[in-house]
Amino acid sequence: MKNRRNFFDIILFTEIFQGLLITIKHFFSKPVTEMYPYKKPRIYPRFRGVHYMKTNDKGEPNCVGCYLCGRICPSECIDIDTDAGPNGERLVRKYTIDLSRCIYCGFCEEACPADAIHMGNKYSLISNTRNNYVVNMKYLVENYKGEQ
Amino acid sequence: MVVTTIVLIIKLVIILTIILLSVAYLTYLERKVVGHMQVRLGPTHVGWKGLLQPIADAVKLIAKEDIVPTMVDRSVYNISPLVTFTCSIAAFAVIPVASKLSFFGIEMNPYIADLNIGILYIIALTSVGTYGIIMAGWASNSKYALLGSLRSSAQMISYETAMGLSIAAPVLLAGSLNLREITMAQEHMWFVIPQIIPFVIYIISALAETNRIPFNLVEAEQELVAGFFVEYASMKFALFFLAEYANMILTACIATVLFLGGWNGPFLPEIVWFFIKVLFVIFIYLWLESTLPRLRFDQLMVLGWKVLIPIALANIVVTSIIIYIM
Repeated sequence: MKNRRNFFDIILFTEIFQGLLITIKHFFSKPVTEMYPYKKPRIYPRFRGVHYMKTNDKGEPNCVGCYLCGRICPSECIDIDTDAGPNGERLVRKYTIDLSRCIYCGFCEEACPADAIHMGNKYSLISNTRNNYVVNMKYLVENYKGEQ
Repeated sequence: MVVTTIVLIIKLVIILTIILLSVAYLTYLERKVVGHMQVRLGPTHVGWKGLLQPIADAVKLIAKEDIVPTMVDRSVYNISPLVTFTCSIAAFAVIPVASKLSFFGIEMNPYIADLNIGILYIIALTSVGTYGIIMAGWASNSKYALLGSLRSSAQMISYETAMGLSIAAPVLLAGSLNLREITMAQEHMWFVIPQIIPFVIYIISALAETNRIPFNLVEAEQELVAGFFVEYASMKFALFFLAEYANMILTACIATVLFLGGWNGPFLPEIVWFFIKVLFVIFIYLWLESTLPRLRFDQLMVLGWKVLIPIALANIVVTSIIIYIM
């Protein structure tokens, strides 16, 4: 019978009053609600949003076409095609990311040896067809300008 | 004769409008208060600070399709929301909000009827309202509705006793069943001061009567989906909903009249005092609602029969002895 409550606690409702005190404290505290569509949410430093492609000073993408990001991608959403240039260098002919398949894990950013592909802060992506979610190099470079 | 009838009809319309509007805005108040107690905001979008939300809800409910399930007992199914709603609205007829009201120089009584058995009338009507719930549960032909209404009848029977006994104490002190006379007897001292125990019992049993949260077994969402009105849709559902919130306001009004001194109070006009007190009691309801978890059914019965009724009975005995001696 150790957990028997104090007689005065029962008749004076002490426990209920403790609970009431907690709720009234919360009543006067600031609500944690974020007014999302009207105010932008807080973006944290390690947030992983839509990718962007870093460029060099001349505005050319840093990508060297090594296929590492496409290889490591768990959802296989990165599609790369390369070709040999006139001087024997590697040219990136096609670099697309299917954003509707992407799980935003950030592995491509980690795998990239050339400081090219990165995860950005952009999160709002709305389109009425699936094809619009397949983005190319131009879009990624544009995104880099937006991130700066 | 004609003039008095017209005045009566105007008064009826005004009071009905006020009740229905305040019921609508009670849902807004509830959502705001409970929201803030859960560190949320509550409705904010429709209108300024969400003030038009109840209107939007009402329009939505009225515009909805009226669905009647195939296996229900049609006539009882249709009557039961009306029974519940009419009873809870009709009980407002005897609530005195002020001693005298005057509109543009015309003196008016601030109540529709001045019954000499006012409080008995209210208790009778709220009990009849329970029949609507039982009928709804039975006619719906659904196990959840039936369970909800069975719980409701058991709960009402147990808590009505405690409520009646707690109401008897201020009636003994005032020496009248008339709500106006009970209010006038509290001019110098509110009955909550000598009768704090019945006040607490009254608040507890009023919460149980109106199926508010610590006692909302009738419509326990997790167990019974929605309780006795699962099968109802559209306006019939809205009638049950209105009746529930009107009952909440009604019990707050009775608490104000019987224990908190009705319209009595310094400085402010009488009607303002009355509304402040009613709002205070409703705030206590909402506060308890956001604080307490739901009781188990056997705990509910134990609290009703083994705790509240003996205390209320003992209180009546003591009060009567003291009144007899004095």
